[in-house]
This record gives sequence, structure tokens and C-alpha cells, in this order.
Amino acid sequence: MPLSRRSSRSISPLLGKNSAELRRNDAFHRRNRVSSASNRVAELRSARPTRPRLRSAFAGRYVLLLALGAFCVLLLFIPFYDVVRTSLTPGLSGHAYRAVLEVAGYRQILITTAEISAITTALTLAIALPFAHFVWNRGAIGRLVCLAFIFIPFFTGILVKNLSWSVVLQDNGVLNRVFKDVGAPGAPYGLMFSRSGVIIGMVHYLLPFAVIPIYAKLIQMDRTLLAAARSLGAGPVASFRLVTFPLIKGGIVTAAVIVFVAGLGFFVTPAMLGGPRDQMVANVISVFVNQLGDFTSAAVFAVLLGGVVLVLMPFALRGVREGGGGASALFVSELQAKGEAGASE
Amino acid sequence: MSLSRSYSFILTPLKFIAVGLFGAFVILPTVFIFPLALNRTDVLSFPPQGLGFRHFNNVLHSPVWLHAFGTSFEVAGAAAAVATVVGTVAALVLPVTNRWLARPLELAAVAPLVIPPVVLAIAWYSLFSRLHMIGSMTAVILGLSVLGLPIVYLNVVAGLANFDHDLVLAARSLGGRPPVVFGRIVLPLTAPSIIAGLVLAFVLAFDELIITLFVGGGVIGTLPVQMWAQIGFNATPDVAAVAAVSVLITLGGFALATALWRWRSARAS
Amino acid sequence: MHEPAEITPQAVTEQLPAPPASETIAEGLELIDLTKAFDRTHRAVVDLNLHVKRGEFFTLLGPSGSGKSTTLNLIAGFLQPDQGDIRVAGRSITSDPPERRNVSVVFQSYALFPHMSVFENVAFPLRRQRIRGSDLRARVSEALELVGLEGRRSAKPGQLSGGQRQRAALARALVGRPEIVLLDEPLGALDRRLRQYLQEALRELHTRVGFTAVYVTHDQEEALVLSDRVGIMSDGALVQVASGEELYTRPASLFVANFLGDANVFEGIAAAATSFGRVDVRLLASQSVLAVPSPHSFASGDRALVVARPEHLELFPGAASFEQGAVAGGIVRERMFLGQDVVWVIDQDAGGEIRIRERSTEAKSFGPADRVFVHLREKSIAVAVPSDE
Repeated sequence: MPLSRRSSRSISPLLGKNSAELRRNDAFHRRNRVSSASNRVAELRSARPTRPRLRSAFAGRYVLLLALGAFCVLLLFIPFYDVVRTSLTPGLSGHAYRAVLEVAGYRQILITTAEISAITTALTLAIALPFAHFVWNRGAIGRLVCLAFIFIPFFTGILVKNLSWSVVLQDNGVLNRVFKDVGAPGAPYGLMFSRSGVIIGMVHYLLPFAVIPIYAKLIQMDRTLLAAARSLGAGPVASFRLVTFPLIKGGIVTAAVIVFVAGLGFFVTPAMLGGPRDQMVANVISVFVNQLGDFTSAAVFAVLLGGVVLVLMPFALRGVREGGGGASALFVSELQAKGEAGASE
Repeated sequence: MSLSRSYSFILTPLKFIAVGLFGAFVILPTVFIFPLALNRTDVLSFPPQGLGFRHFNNVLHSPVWLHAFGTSFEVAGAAAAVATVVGTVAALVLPVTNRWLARPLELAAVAPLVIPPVVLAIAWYSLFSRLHMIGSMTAVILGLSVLGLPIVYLNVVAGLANFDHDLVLAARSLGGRPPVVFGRIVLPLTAPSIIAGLVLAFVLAFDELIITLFVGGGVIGTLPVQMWAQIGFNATPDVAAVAAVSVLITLGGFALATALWRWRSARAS
Repeated sequence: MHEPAEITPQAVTEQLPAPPASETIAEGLELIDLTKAFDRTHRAVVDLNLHVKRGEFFTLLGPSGSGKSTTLNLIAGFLQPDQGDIRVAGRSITSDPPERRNVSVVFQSYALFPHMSVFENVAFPLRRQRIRGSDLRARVSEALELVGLEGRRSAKPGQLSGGQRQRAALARALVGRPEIVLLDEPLGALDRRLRQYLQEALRELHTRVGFTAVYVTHDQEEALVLSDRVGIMSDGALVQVASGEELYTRPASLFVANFLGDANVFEGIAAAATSFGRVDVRLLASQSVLAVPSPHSFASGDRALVVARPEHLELFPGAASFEQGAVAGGIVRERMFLGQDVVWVIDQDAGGEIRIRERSTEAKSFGPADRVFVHLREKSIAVAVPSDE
């Protein structure tokens, strides 16, 4: 056995040790520590104990909490409770629900709402995903420009947007004139007061809401995973499918839920751009409250809408937390294993 | 792999064209409103037949529209203020509160973002009609402030997440009592987030329609309400001019907020 | 037979450092029966008793989780003790909030206020003391000059280097003339060169200003360089408090012996104590009897461990049987050349390994698998500590 050589590095004059010895000494010491329960707990906690948070800062905290609580109770809990109660009149029965759901026309509105929202979600995601990916691959300035494009519409009210759309989508509006000039078959298209118009308006409004969660997940992703996948033989399409996509899946789910839920509640767009067969739940509620004075039926629709939202929201939050990182890391390590197996042959 | 490499000289320009189209699609309605408003004639059409400021003139001299602007500023300003105060307090207090107390309040603070506005509108309609407050400014302001609350809350929470708690401990060990620590350390460093929340809450309230319609009972004539009525009646470039002005206002506010952010974080880093 | 150095009773108890540290028990910092538990399983600090003299530079040294940071937080007032008292200059401060304790803290993350200039940061504690105007400016300038940052007074923390930030944090902690300065691993975030430089700067600062410091670290070397005295902590308790040299040459327990430097441990049985502070131990491996100093008392027949530092042992070529007075015997496993020193790793016959360190200039020559005997050097010190079993 050859005698080992250790390079001498930064020898401490005081103790005559070098850093390698110091490290070995630490390990030696750690091994010899007498184990005890508190030791175990201390070991389980991370290396550095965390700084205590000063909770005793001010006891007036509870007064503020009380005020907050009162604010929430008054303006959120009570009104919602009220609506639910109203939908159950007379006196806690499902009568109003049956009355509404028995009418084919009302049922149709519920179905229409779901349909429009679903199509909108699909289209929005189909556009948002590539766009988010594109922005992610830009340099600093490119990113700023792209994100500005996404955020500027945020500051335009829905009415303004729909006003513009109503002019653009008219039979002799901008779009149709372009189609006619280009010679598209069947032009001019009836885009105003139609489902297509509503969907265009909704997709346009909801795009930023879809881009944000997907983009957030993208920037959380470790880029070196992609480099690893490429170096192991995966092309751009494969590495997106097997590495990027699983990792951002959570963001896509979140985006889908947010867009769908928001779509369900749309009011202005179907009213301004849609025809009589494109009216959605919010429009019906408005008619019931402001024109017919039938508060109970309005409450029924509101509860139905709110119920669906309540059920779907946890999925949006789950998408935020889950990483989906396990799948991609697994894939990369599998490729590595295959590569090594191939090399040894 | 080889496929994309050989076709990349087609794909790349295609990609940029697609993105360009997308960009145009996204920005279109915002930008489009301006030529509509600058139309010389009285018809909402494109391309405009001649450009002029006539409709802007009409709007700026019309008592109806001026009143609507005023109402919107009042309502949105008040709602943003309330939302900022409540949201900031919530963001400061909830993270250090017992989990069982904090959880429901945290959910409540974020809920208005998720619940469809129409549901909120009808819920508040029910509440305020009981209190005989339908059509009152207070009711609308309260409703819109709850709408803006999550925005402020999330912004301030995000700002506080990056806040180094050691700074508070250092300030206290150097003799700073809690009010001093809050006023000279916590507040200045969270100000950018608070202001961001304030601006966003303002914009949200300024452009809001459904809740104002329901709770305002058609009486509170904010800008969107007035526009809605006008469009239903007869949409002319006057409305487009109003829309254009409101876009300028909100964009201006955003630019101001961004400038404030930069100035504040330059002080902070 | 080697004769260890004559041990006097004073040598066994703490060596007091040279003045200017104050001797009066009422001055300085006192921790009395301090206890803090976070929940039933995690007792962070247990019955801690400590007196830090005024003007002393005291370090709490220990592994992660030993309770040293918790102790610091208790002194600063960021945590309240379950039991016990903290006194500064004779006055109890346990019920005082942090801002009234006149105890300032230097953090590992510096905790400089990012939105204030260096000047404003340093001025902060003075403003809290209602010092204003030219007084304020004079005091701030004095503090900045002390740490060599006078030229950077209007810079923001973000514009300073790591070393400059730490100096600014020091200036801020000292400017208010606090009773105690607490330092929580302040050099942890810096690279090695900078650490050494700042250690020296800190030492010099302490000599000049004479503040009372309690320093927390897990780095033994740092503790030895900076401190007048060091307290070794383990599992919430102070295991030994003494000067660095004392801790190294006369560790009170196996834990301390292992924590500071390498320790070779030999099992043995104690015979009756001979003179005060000394005990005869019959080593199990070699059956040699060593008269060894120890602050502990042993009954005849007790198990004892003899601790010897690598530089206190030397090697001799071995015959088949134990030479008189050899501590142990074994086979050479490794020879490591470290430049100034050579370290031998010996596989003991009785099991375990022994490390011997000698100057390269005087190094013996052995080959691998040579048989050797290990002796205690002349004039070297080994210590007996109780066995944990």
C-alpha cells in the first residue's frame, strides 16, 4: 500500500492543522457525540437555528385581527350566507332549484356557459403556452417588451376592449374587410353577436391570466435540466415533452382553472358581443335582479356558479404547489443510465 | 431532432411572425380605441374619415361625462384607499398570527379575486338592500374596496417575503421601540409593494362595471356605468373618446406607479 | 519513565486573563440558571451559569444545535427564558424588551438598513438616545474612523463589499456605547482571507475600545484567535469555560478534547489519586501506569480515559513485548507529509488508531507496517477524563 501524500494547504499556525484535518476532526467529533433525544432533534433541524420572530411586538395585534375579522364577516361571510339562504326559499327547500333546472332554457344557459368557457380555456392555453415559452427564451430586453405587451391590456377596462372589438368584428369591420380582400371563403363572417365574437373577446381578456402562472413555473425551472437532456440525446421537441412540460404542468393546470373559472362569470362580453343564444349565467342573473325582481332564481344561479368555483379552486392552488419535478429528474437520470450502459459495451 | 434543425430556417421566422400576430392581437383593442375616438364623423367606424379632436372636445365639455369622471375618481380613490389600509394591515398581521385564526382570514382576503364578480354583486345587493344602502356611494365604495383587497394583500405579502427579519431585530437591539421600528424600517422598505397594490386596486375599481351596476342601483354613475348606458342607447365616437381618456388615465397611473417603484427600490437596495 | 510537568492546584482552575478586565462580580454580564425549552423534546439551554467580566472577549463555542445562538438571543432579549436571570452591571434585564437592554447585536447577515446610508445606519442608535446635531455627527465620525469607513459614509449598504458591510455593522453596534456587544457568527458569510483579516481587526478593535463581547461561533480556530476565554457548549450546557490554551491542553471531558483539535484516547483504570490534581492510571493496552493531571477525582478502580494530543506523542521502533513506559503499540498505517509537520497514523494493537505529529525536520523514518511503540514525550501533558460509560 503506497504511503499517501496530502497536499498541505493553509496550515493553521495555532493548531498545526490544515483544513482537511480540521474537516476530518469535525467528522470524528460528530461520530463520537453521545446520542440523546435532544441531539437527534437538533440534528434533524437544519444546521443553523432560525432567528426567533418577535411575536411580542405589539398586543394591539389582536384588536386589528378583530377588526379584520369583522370586516370579512360583514362583507363576505354574511352576504354569501344570505344568498345561499335566499336560494333555498321558501324555507330551506330545493324548490327554487327545481323550478330553475326544470326550464330547458335555463338549463341551456348553464350548458352554454360551460361550453363557451371550456372552449375559451382551450384556446387561451393553446396561445398562452407557446407565448410564455417564447418569452422565457428571450433576453432581458425582449422579455420586458413581451411582458409589457401582456400587461398593458390589464389596464384597459373590459368595456373599452369590447367597444373596440365590436367595431373590429362588425360585418363591414376591419377583420371582415381584410378577409374579403384576401378572398377568404364565406367572407364576410358574422362575428358580431355570435359565439365566435364572444370567444374572441374572452380569449383576449383572459390571456394575461393564463400566461402568468405558466411563466411563473417556467422561471422556477432549472435550465440546466434541459441542457442535460439535450446533451444526452433529446432534441428540442423531446426535451420539451419529457422535461419542460412535466415541470410546468402545475402552472398549466393553475392557468386552466383560473381561466375557466373566470370565464364562467363573464358578463360584459356576452352582452356586447354575443347573440341571444350566447347569454351566460351572469347575464341571466342581471336580468333576474334588475329587470324581473326575481331574487330567488338569481340566487339559485349565483349559488350554482359559486359552487362550481369553490369546487375547482383547490385545483388551481394545487398546481401552484406541486413541482412535477420528480418526473423530469427521473427521465434525465434514465437517459444517463442508458448512456452509461451503452458506453460500457 | 434532425427535423427541426433542417427546417429551422423556416420555423424561426414563422415563430416570430406568430408572436408578432399574437402581439398585435393582444394590443389591438387598447390601441384601436384611439383612431375610433379621433374620427371626424359621428359614426363609430374604421378607418376614420378624417381625424379630429371633436369628440374629445364634446366629452370634456359635457357635464354628464365630467360628472361620471368625477364620480369614478371619487369611488375608485376611496375604494383603493380602504383596500390599501385593510390589505396592508392583513399582510402585516396575518403571517405572524396563530394558524387557526389566520387561515380563514387569509382565504377571505384572497377570495374576491377568485369569486366571479357577478356572485359578489348579487351577494352585496342582498346585503345592502337589507341595509337600505342600494344606490349609496358608501355601498359601492365598500364593495369595490373588497374587490381590490386581494391585490393589495398579495402585493404586500410578496414584498414582506423578501424582508429580512434580522433588520427588525437589529433595530430593536439598537434601541428602537416598536413604533419606531415600524415607521422607520418596515414601512419604508415595504412602501413599493403597498403603492403597487394601491395603484392596481385603483385601476380595478376605476374600470369596474357589474358590482357598481348592481349595488349602485343605476344611480351611482361611474364612468363604466355611464358608458354602458350610452352604448346600450347609441354608441358614438363620443363614447370612444371617453374610453380613450380612461385608457390614458389608467396607463398614466401605471407609469407613475412604475416610476415610484424604481425610485423607492433605488433607495432600498 | 517520563515525568509530566509538575501540576499545581492553580493550574487546574481557570487561569485569569490579564487586566483590564474587571474583577468585580457585579460588573459585566451574568447568566444565572438560564433555561429555555422550545417544546418538550427540545431543550435548547439548560441551567446555564456564566459570568463574563467587563471588557472581556468571551466566545461561546460549540457544534450546531448546542444552544449558543439561543443563549445569544436570550441575552439580547429576542427570546424570553423559561427560568433564570440575566444581569448586566448587577441589574437584572430579563424583563426588559430588547430596545431597553443596551445590548447591541452584530448579525451574520449584517442587517444593515438597506434604505439608509452608512452614516444613517450608524446614527440610528444615537438618534434613539436622543443625541442630535454636532454631537451626533462627531460620534458617528468617530465610530466610522474606528472601523476605517469614514470615506464611505454616504454609501448605501448595497454599494459596499462584504468586509465593509461587516465593519459598518460593527461601527453601528459600538457607537451607542452599549454595555454588551453580541456577535452571532458575524464572519460566517466571508471567505477565508477576509475572515482572518477581520478577525485581526476585531481583536485590535477590542483592545482599543475595551467593550464587553460575547461571540458565538462553531469555528474553533476563530474562537481561539479572538477570545480571552472560551465556553464550550454542548446540548444546551456549558461543558468547560477557560482560556483557549487551557481548553486545549487540559480538556475537562472527552467532548472538549475532541472538539478542539485531535485527541488520542487511551482507556485505563484509575488507581487511587496520588497528589492533588493527579491520578495514576493503568492503561489497559500496555499495562503501563501513568501519573496524569486531572481536575476530576477518581475512585480506585474507576474507568478513566487518558487524552494525549498528537504532538505530545512520539514513536520508537518496537520489539516483541511492550517496552517499559510505552503508552501503546501498533503498526504504522500511514505517513502524511504536511510540509511543516509529519503525521503518523498508527493502528493500535488494542484497536483504534493513534495519530502522532512531529516536525518534519525531526521526523523519524518508518515504513508501512513497521511495528512501533508510542511514548509520551518529555514535558508533555496528557489529561485524564472520566469515561462516558
